[in-house]
Amino acid sequence: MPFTPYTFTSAQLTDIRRHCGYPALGDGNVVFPYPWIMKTYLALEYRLQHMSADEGNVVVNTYLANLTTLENAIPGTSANLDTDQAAVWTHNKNEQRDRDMLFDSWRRRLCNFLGVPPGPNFGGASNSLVV
Amino acid sequence: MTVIAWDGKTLAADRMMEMHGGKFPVSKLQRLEDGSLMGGAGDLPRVYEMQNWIADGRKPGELRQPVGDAYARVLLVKPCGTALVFANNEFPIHILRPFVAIGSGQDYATTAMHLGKSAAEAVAIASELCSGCGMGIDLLEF
Repeated sequence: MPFTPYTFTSAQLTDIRRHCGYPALGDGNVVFPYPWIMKTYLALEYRLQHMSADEGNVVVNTYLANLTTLENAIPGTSANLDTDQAAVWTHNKNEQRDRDMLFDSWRRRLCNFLGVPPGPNFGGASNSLVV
Repeated sequence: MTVIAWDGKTLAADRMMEMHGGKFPVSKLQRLEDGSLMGGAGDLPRVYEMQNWIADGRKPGELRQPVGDAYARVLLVKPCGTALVFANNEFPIHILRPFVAIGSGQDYATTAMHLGKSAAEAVAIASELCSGCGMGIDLLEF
């Protein structure tokens, strides 16, 4: 039986790259110095072009759907930054951090499902101290 | 980054830390109150977090979950010579081999010690071969 790869929409591909931590692809033209930069995408793009229909449905319905929900919830935490305690309800001071962690956790799961390492943008801006 | 090596007698470490693409020399080894020797590799805040938890007695359930992708390993050598590796969590891995190394230079250092080199020599070799190691060597012994 011939294998028919799942066809993601352009918007879905953009979201998958973004959530997996891969930078914007632009027009994808391979011109200098892009042969080096494009290497970043090879495993991911190969996977995306060779997903089965069932696998593609998991990516879209399980991962993209939940990631969209989780991502959209993060900016909303700014509304709670001024509240430490209101009535008997106590705001989780770590709401944004916790939501970031949950979001990143789902991004990592998507990478694992796709079988690719998290992209170079996964950690955000580089301000880390590494020994 | 980093190579920490234990050869059964000496705990050795390189000094390189990376920050914003730059290299900075730091000390990566410490001696605890009970005499244990310790060194860590990985995300530096996470290394400190784990080392503080170890220094405070390794109370179960009190090591925070790592934030984001923060990952660290800590090599703890107890005064009896037992080497324990903590891989980003509370659970010690008891190394039964007489030598052990952690960090990006661990493969070079482990091979060097397997071939009879000391921990200090192993760190020197790893510093020559691993792009993430160098800037000097620190040593601790019981």
